[in-house]
Amino acid sequence: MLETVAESSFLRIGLVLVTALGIQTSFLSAVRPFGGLIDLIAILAAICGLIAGPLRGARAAFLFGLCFDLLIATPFGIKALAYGLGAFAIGSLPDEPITNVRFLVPLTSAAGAAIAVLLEGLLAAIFGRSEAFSRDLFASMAVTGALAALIAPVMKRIVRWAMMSADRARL
Amino acid sequence: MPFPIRGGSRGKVLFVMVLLAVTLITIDVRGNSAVDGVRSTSRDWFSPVRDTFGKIFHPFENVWHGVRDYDNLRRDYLVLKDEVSRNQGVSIDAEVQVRELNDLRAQYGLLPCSAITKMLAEVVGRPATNYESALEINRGSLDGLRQGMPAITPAGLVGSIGKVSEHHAFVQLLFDPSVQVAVNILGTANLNKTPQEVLENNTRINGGILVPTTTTLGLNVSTTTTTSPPVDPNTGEIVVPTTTTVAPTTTLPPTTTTTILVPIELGIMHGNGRDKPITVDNVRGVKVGDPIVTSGSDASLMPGCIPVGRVKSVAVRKGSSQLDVVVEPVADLDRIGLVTVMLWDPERRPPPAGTPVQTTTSIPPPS
Repeated sequence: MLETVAESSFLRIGLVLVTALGIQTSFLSAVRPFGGLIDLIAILAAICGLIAGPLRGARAAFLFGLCFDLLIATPFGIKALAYGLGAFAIGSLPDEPITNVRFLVPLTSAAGAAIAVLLEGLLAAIFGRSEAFSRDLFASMAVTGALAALIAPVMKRIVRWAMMSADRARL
Repeated sequence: MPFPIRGGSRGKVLFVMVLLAVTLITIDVRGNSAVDGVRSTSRDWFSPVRDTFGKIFHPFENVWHGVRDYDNLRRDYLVLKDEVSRNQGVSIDAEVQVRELNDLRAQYGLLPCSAITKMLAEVVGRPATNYESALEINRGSLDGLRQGMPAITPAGLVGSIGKVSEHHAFVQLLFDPSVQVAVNILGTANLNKTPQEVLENNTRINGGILVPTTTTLGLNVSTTTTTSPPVDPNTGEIVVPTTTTVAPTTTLPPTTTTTILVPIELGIMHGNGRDKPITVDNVRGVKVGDPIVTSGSDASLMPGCIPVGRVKSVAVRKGSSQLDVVVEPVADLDRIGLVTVMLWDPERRPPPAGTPVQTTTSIPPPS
């Protein structure tokens, strides 16, 4: 099967990504509820997996992570891998229950974002940043997951608008 | 023109993604100038976007801090107000001491801290991960910043410069495991020596780090050493000694007691992660509350005049008489808005400590 993504879709994805990165590197880096950092890009990655499926979702999430990696001082590629794997995991869930049960979208979004944050911590620890696996990691998973559950309906619309037309979206 | 995305097996996509990411991570961890260049350029390009979003969200950030930190800020305000009133008198004394210290350092060829060029920078980016300990500042290589330069606040050392791009740089904070600083832990000593002797001994032994705690250092030495000829109280005439067996008073050593802070241990301070203590391992003879300053030794990347913190706690290392020390930094590492970068180049340091230079000081010579 050959899927196509129009150029306009790239522009929309770029717009969403730049906005999310702008918010992440300014406002969200300065506020840390309960000591945990809210990872908006992880939420975006999880929703991508949910909306676009494991393959396209993972590829988009990988791209988001790579762009985020460019802007920070952590090992280059860690966020890309974590987000890609997170989106792949969420995208691999069966469509039917998520589509039918209303509250499962926020729930799976929260789980996907939290998994992405956890994976990032684990990968950083594996690649020599042992301090990554700390109390703050779990706080970050909790607050990111909570925010993902809250904003999942809005983010779902945004990602669907950016990535594909409504008729091709899974949800 | 449409861009094709090929649908394929999930395993293949997963494999390619993992392989690509691991390759990138490995290249970056091993150090690659191309990757560093791309990242530094990206940061410079993205900084206007981040600054714009920063301005847009600044009111929200203020609201957040107002709601969340109001009580803490109020408590801090009251504590600081009390501290400021207590320190007003002390600051005059401190100014005198700093001037004396700089005189002493100049006498022994050590660069005074005030002589090092400094550059003020604004923090424009906070850590964007839980394990990152770097602040981004709005000064870069074009402003003269280089990797390893010390970053300070008025309180003391906060970290060192990490990666540098043209217009921006990262400050690795003290709790980052990659930051290692040679430090001197200071202790008080009351010495029955002349200040000149104290100065010479400590300068030779400890690389010139000498922090006086009283203004008497090197100044009040001649009170007991000079004598006038005895005068007859009745006639007012000078009495000439009739014997030659009396020892002249000028041969007696002065009894000046000098209280100073001396380096009692040299160690390497390092961070252990964001929410973990900053430590100095394998030291001896230190106690809680001892001040810590940068050592400025030959191997150090930093000049030897920066306050770092105090000993917060001391633990005996298992199976050893040596101690592991937890450091309480003097600077608040969680609330940094501005940092000062000392444009210190370790390659162009002044002559080694202990090298006497031409003396043009006002310190009176010992009797």
